[in-house]
Amino acid sequence: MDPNKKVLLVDDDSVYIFILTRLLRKHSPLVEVVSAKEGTEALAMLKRDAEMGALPQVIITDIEMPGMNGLDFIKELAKLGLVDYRHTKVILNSGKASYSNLNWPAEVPSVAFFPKPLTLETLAGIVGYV
Amino acid sequence: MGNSPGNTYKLDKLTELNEELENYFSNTIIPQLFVDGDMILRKFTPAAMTHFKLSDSDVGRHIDEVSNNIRFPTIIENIHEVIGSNKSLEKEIQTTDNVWYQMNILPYIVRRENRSNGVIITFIDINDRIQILKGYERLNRNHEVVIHALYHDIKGPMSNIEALVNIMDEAMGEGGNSEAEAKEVMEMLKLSVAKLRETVEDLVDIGEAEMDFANATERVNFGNVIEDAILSLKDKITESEAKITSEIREAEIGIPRKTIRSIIYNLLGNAIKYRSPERLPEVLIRTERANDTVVLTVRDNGMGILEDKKEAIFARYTRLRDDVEGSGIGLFIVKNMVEDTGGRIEVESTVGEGSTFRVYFRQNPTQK
Repeated sequence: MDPNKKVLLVDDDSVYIFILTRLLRKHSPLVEVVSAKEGTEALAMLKRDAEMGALPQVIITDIEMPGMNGLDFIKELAKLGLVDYRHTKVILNSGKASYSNLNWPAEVPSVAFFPKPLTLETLAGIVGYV
Repeated sequence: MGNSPGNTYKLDKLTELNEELENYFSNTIIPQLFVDGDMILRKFTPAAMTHFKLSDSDVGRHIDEVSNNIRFPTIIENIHEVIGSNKSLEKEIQTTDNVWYQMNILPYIVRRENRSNGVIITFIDINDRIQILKGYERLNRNHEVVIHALYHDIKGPMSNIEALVNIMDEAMGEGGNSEAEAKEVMEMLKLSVAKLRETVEDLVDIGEAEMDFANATERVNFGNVIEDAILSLKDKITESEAKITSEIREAEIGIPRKTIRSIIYNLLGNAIKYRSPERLPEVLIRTERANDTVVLTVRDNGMGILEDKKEAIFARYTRLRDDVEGSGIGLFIVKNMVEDTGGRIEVESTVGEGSTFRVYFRQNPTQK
């Protein structure tokens, strides 16, 4: 991964964010990691990023969060057309593996699902090829 | 008719048949009504007399006049429907005083003319069946809560703890990590363990209340239960220097002990947990009666709840403040427990001043 790349983590669990941030730094020490507690906060951050031309290359979002949940967040993200999916990878991440069988509505482009917790290997796979 | 032996025999036979039918009818334990084509109540079983408070003098009256006794608003409509269509009707009904019946309205057919000349209405008491069904629904809902908590509130903190322990392990192995980082990781470990513990305690509450289902009719003394909850929260009360006052204006309630204890424990626990940083916590617990309702009030002087979060606090995934330990399922469980008893819970709050939770239990004064 390019050292000046950016990852956005969306999760209400601050401990999980701490752990992922650590794993990401381990994989590529110079990566920029930013985080939001739920969908609305993440969208606000992405709007600012879009204006400044500093959008993240990876977005990893939890599904069940207070406020805007992960599914609504990615739907809203698609509707607003904030990110170019060729340059930004969107990952859904939840402890409930049954979410991998979700039927996606047509307006949401393909998003990958990975069960929680993400391991260093999986994370390396996700950010490695961006 | 005359006195010919044949006629006497027919008359005897008829009397005998009539006797059999009368006996059969008067020994029917199911409430049944015969209503003719002019909507006149012609006959009913003794069971109908007890279930619908009918007396012999009601025979021959128009169904309109006794429909209040039957306590089911659309019964007249339903009778017309069956007479008109000549087809029987079956439905589950709940009377205005909340008793469930399966009601069957069958057309009374005059065979020679193949038309209905009235109806026979049968009521089967299905209250027990409905209660069991409701019990299963509750069980199912609790099962969902447990399964959800397993994913969201147990698996999450567990794998966090695992990862944090690994980080600690690495830090100690390398010897290169700063003490500050070790401290940070340790704090997070504590937070995760506390969260896990709280979730498990909440879930144990569900289990206990469920097992207490059988004792649904016991009378519980509010004073004892409040005392019990205060005792369980003793450490937190001492640590926060909270002042707890109780005003018991209604002494007892007919709700399972563990349910009421769990409700008070959760509300009191929250009142202390979400205390204001600016003052010592003061909590008032009050019980009182208003007609057929027993109201439990828990009022605090804590941080308060934002107007737009008042609904959310009762939802499953909510944890409003990240810096306060909590699984976010406590109030969800409380709400479920209250609604299972037929009651409701409300909250009133001003940010910076405090919150008041009110639980309304439906309790008839005569109910034992």
